[in-house]
Amino acid sequence: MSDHQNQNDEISKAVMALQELPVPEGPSPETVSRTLAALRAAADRPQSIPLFCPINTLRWAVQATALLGIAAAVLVMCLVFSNLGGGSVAFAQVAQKLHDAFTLSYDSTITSPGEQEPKLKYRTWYMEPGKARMDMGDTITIMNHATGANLVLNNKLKTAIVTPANSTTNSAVGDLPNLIDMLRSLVGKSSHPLGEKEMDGQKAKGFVCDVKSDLQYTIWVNAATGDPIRAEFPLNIGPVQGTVAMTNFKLDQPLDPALFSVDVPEGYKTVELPALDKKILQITPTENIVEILRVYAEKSDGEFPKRLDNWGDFATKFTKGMDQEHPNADEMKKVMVFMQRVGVFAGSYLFSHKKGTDYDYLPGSKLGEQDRIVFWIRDDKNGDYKAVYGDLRIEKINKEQLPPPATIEAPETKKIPRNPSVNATKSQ
Amino acid sequence: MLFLRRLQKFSQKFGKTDVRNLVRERLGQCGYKTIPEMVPPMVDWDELVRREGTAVWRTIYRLVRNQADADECFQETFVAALELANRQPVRNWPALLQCLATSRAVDRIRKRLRRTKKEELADLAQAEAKQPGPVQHAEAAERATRLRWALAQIPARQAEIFCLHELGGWKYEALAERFAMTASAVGVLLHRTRKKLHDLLNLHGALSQSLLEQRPT
Repeated sequence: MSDHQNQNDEISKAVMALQELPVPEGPSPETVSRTLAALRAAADRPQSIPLFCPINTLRWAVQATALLGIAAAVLVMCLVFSNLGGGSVAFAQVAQKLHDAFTLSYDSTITSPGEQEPKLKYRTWYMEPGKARMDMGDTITIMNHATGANLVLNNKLKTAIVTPANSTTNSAVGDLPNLIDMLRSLVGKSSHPLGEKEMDGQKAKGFVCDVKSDLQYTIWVNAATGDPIRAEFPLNIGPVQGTVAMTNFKLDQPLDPALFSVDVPEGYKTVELPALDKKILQITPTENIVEILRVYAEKSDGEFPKRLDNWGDFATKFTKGMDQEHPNADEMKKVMVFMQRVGVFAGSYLFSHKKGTDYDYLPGSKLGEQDRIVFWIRDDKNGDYKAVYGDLRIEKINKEQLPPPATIEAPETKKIPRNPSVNATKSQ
Repeated sequence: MLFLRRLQKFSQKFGKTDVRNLVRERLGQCGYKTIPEMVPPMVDWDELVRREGTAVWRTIYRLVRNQADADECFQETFVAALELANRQPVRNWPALLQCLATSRAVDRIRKRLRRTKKEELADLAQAEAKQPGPVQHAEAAERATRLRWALAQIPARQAEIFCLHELGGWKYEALAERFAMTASAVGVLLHRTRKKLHDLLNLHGALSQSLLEQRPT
C-alpha cells in the first residue's frame, strides 16, 4: 500500500470513528430557552458597529470630536497590540528586514466574518525616525513619534485636528511604539511553517505564529528574499470582529517627507488639541468610566448613555449648546480632551474585553440611583468584581451580585415574534 | 426604506410577519425590484431553532464531546447567525448554521485540546477507550479522540474546511463558495490537511504509547 493510500485510510478510519461515537439526540429544553433569550437580547442590540458607522450626517464640530474619539481609540489599540511578543528564527529574519527598513508601506483591510468585501481599507506609510501616516478614505492621520505631534485631517470636512509637538513628551503619541517595532514584536515564540505556494506571482513561504494563547498571526513571505507578501491576524476586540490583512508591502521605497508633515494644509479649519494627558492612560477603566458617565449625565439631564461605544452620541452630547459653526476654542478643547478619554477607554479596555464576561454596561439608569448597578467589571489579574452604581460610587461585589444583562429584562426587547409551536408541551 | 423598517417593527410587534412579505410583493409588482431587498427578511428564530437546533447541536457535540461546551457553542452559533442575518439575506439556513456551528466547535476544541499537557494526552485517549463495549469500539473511540486533538493543532480554517467536507459532506464547490477560494484550491488544502492530520495522528499515538510505557504499573 502506498503512503498516500495509507494516509487516507488512517484519516478515513478516524473520521468514521468520530462519526460513529454516540451523540445525544439534541439540545436540552434549557439550552434552547437560553439560546432564544440570547437571540432576543442580541436582536435588541443596535445592528451596526459604531466605529464603522457613517458619521457624516453630524455637523462638523461634532464629526471632528467623533473622529478624535476614533483616532484616540486607534492609537491606544496600537499600544495594546504592541504588547504582543515573541520570536522564532524564520520570523526574526522577516522582522529584521522590517526593522532595518528606512521606509515601509502597506495596505490594510479589515473584513467582517462571513463577508468578502472589506469593511475598512487604508494604507499606512512609515519613515524613520518614527513618522507614520494612515490614509483611510477622507481621513488622514499623521503621527510623528519623535516629536509627539500628530494631525488628523478630514478632506471632506476640511478639518484638521492638531496635537502639537511636545518636547516634554507629555503626549500619548510620544509613548506609542512605531509599527515597525510592533511588527517585530509580533514575532511569535512558537511558530510552524505553512508550506509554500504561489502568491501574487511569487513563490511564497508561510508561517503561522502563536502570538498569544488566543491569537494566531499568519505571514507569507517571498521564499527567496524573505520580503513580506501578506500578513493576517484575526481581530476580536469587542464589537469589532473580523480579519486584518496587510498586503502590498513596500520596503525602502523612496517617500516624500512632505507626506509626513504635521503642518495644517491651507483651507482647513484647525482645532488644536492639548496633548493627551498621560494620566488618562494610567487610571483604571473603572475610574475612567465613572468620569465619562459623570460628564455625560451632566450634559443630558442626569441620563447615562445608551451605549459606551457610540462616538456620534458622545460627540453630540458633549457639543450640546455650542455654536456648531464657530465653536469657542476653549470649550472645544474641553470637549476634545473628553473625547480622548472616551477613545482611550474604548481602545484600551472596551474593545479588548468581552461584554458579559469581563464587564457589562447596563443602560437605563439615571445619575443618583444608588441601588442600581450601571457598570461592572472583572479584574483581569485577580478576578474580583467591582460595580459602579447610579450615584457613581465604586464598590467591590461578588459574582452572585452581578445583575442580569439588562437587554433580556427590558420590556422593549420582544422584537422576535414568539412562536408557540416551539414549546412542545403547548403544541401537543 | 424608513417606511419598511417601521412596517417591520409594526409586524414584529403584532406578529404579522406576512405584512412585510405582502408589501415586498406589491413593491415588486410596481417595479421596485431592489428596494424590498435592502431590508433582510424577518426571521422566525423560534421556528429556526426548533427546526435546525438538533442538527446544529449534533454537529457541535460530535466535535466538542462535552455538554457544557456544546451548549455554549450552540448559543453562540445562533447569535452569530442572527448578526449575520442582520447584515445580509441568508439563502441557505442549514448550510450557514452548519458552517457557523463547525467554526464554533473547532474554536472550542482548539481552546480545550491545544494546551493539553502531554501526560493528559495519554489519559484523554485512554478515557475514551475505556468506554464500555467491544474492543473495536474502544479503538474507534481512541481514534476519534486523536483526530479531535489533531484538528485542534492545525489552523482553524483548515480544520473547519476538513470537518465540513468529511463530517458535513460539503462538496468542493460549496466550500469554495463559502471560503472564497477556487474548488481546486479547496482540493489542495484538503490534501495538505489530510497529510498534516496523518502526521499528527501518528505523533499522538507514539507519544501516548511512550508515556504509558514510562508510567509505573
